Amino acid sequence: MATQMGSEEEFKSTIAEYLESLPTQFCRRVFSNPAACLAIFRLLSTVGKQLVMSMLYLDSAIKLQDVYQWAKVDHQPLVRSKVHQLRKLQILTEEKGTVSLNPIFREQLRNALTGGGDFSSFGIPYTGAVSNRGVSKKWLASYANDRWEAILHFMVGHSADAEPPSESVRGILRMSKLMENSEEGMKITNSGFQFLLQDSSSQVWTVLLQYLRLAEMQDMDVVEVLNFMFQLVSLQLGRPYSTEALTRNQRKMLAELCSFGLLYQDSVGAPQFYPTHLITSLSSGSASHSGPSSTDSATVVGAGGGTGRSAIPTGSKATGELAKPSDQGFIILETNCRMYAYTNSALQIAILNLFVHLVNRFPNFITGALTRDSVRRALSRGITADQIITFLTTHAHPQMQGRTPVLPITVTDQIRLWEQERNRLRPTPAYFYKDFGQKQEYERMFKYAQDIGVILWASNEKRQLVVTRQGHAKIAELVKSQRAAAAAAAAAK
Amino acid sequence: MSEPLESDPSLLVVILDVNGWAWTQSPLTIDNALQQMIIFINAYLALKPENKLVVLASNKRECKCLYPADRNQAPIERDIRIYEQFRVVDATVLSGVQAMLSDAAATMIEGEEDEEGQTLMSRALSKALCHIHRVEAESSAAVKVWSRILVISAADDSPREYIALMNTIFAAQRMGVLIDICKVSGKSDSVFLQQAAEITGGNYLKVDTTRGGGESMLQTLMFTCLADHYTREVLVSPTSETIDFRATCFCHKRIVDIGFVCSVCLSIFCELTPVCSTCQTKFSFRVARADSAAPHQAVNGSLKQSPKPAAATAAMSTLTLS
Repeated sequence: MATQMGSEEEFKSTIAEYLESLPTQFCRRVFSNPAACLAIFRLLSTVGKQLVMSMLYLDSAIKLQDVYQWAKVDHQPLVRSKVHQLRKLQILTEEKGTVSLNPIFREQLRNALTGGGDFSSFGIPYTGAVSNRGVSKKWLASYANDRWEAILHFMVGHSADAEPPSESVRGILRMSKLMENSEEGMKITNSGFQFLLQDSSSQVWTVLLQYLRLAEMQDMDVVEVLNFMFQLVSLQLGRPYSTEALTRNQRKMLAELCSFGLLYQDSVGAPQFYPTHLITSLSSGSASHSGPSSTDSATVVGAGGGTGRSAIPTGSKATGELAKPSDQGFIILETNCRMYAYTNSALQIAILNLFVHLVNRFPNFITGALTRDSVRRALSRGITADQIITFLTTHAHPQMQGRTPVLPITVTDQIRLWEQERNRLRPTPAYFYKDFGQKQEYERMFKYAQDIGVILWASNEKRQLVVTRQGHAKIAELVKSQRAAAAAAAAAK
Repeated sequence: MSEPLESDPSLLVVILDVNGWAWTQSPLTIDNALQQMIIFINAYLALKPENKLVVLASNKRECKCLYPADRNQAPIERDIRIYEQFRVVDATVLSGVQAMLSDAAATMIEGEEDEEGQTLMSRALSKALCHIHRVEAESSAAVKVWSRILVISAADDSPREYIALMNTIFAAQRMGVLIDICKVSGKSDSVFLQQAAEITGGNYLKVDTTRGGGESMLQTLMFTCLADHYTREVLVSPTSETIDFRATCFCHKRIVDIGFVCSVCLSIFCELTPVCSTCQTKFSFRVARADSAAPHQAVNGSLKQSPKPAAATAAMSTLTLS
């Protein structure tokens, strides 16, 4: 499935994959922006980040072998794969067995840390007179939630009374295959259902990535779009920023992201815009969209009046667009699979209806149960057990949040078992080897395949071997070199 | 204690030694060191958005929390070239350090020269542990925060702090807090801080400012002290050389190789005393003399010759520390 993605981590890796696919000269241009370097750096894995930081202030290249030596013996494969990943992202450059950071990336990441370089990369604050004094963090939060929720409502088809979102929003929903055209207007797809179950930051990343693809198709400059995107991610919530220095494409993007509720502008073409929590939380990682109580910095903690409270993330990542800040946790799940939810939102009920057998509906409360049928229905739509469990955990009632684990183990295990029940067969592309001439030949190949860990199935009696697709290429090489050696030996005789 | 996960956030408490006198003895100026420390802090904040930071500054008289600072201070001049989060931290820390340095210069008292080069590390460490405890208590059960302390030390050890310092170190060990030490100047290695790093599983680094020029401290910090608990499981830490585990005596605060230990409360003394100054136990001198006169029979002798319970007539035994 093209747009299947689970957690935010997986999703981030797809943004990374997108960057990997960029040609070298594009990468250089993306790297020439400190904000972009910082944002890309934050997408790396923990070990990857440490490797970059270790090399950031090294002036000379170091031997690749030495980098591997930084790892403890049993973690060397992990470090190797991280180095490989960094090279694919073109952050690391290799030359004659030595590696060093991409010089542009190194310089701009240093600039990001020390505050130098391109002065506009972290956004130019708007200093002119602000016409609309009513733009507070609280107001922005409700604006963003309303916009985002309206789109989600539209997706589940409960927007009869509201006006449908703009054409560009619908275009992106169609393009990302979250929705598709049908006789009676647009209809949500299976991947759309999965999208609904994700937390908001994954959803926003999905939209941004789709936007990149769209930009590519419209022959916009991808680097321009990417740089603007990374700049937006590093903006500060609740401050006005100037549109002055933006290019035409960036202004266009600005208008479209406004329709998603990621940004806010007083009017089309206004000289300033405000980022909302939907986009700033991508970099700050804070779930705070509670408005005035959130402080300037998400990393503040400890002493100082009022800073400690907002800095500590409660529960999990932002759940903002589904639940209003006041009623984040609303689901109670019992060990007997019964579910009670304090909600009157059509959107939340529609989402719960994906995997819960709903029984009663009261003005502000619904009851239901997780049954085998209801969960299997969700699974058949491509929703995974983990997605269901994550959704229930993040939206669990405060009374349940205190427990560890949050959900009853019996229920989570049962959901996983129901999932496994459906996955008895797993197709894997493979190569089948048979009719080996000699026993030694089979054994040699078996041992080699075992060493590189590509065996799916083998039978010593029948001398048959099934290996993965990746394994086939390596084995073919081995066979080729052996044949060549054998031929050479025969010729020598 | 559970294993650290890749996604777990960290809490870093940076303790900066702002003893002006000690920095004048150092090949690295305090301004230079501060700049490097700020870059390091920015790098730390860049690692994970959830990462939390506390900056403490300590000199020989006081220990102040520079960041997070009080909310009601003047807004900081906006500099658009740097990421907002970094700017707030940097400006707060820099102004805090400057205020402390000028305060210390203003209240300089005559006649304290002998302790000029010392910084009250135990006070700063215990304050750091309090911060850590508070953050851990306030964070939700689902998210484990892994804490560590980084001490940037310029001053020499203060022997009269030994007991307090060791107590905080053991407290840190119990809490699972790593203590990294970055020793910038000073004539010799800090014996106490070396032990702090060793006991808690942190790194002790002596920055060689003569060799690598100005940026060697930053490179050292980036390489070893930036790694969180998870990364430290994966990557190799620099191996520490032989560590001086010597203790200071409780009576004169001298560092001793061989001393006398109270058998009741384990206090260490550099010379024979009739009464333990810590727990007021009276030592039986008969045994002690036998001890020194005939070392071979000391253990046997003390057991046989003291019919009363050990707590009542405690024997003072010699202890070799190394």
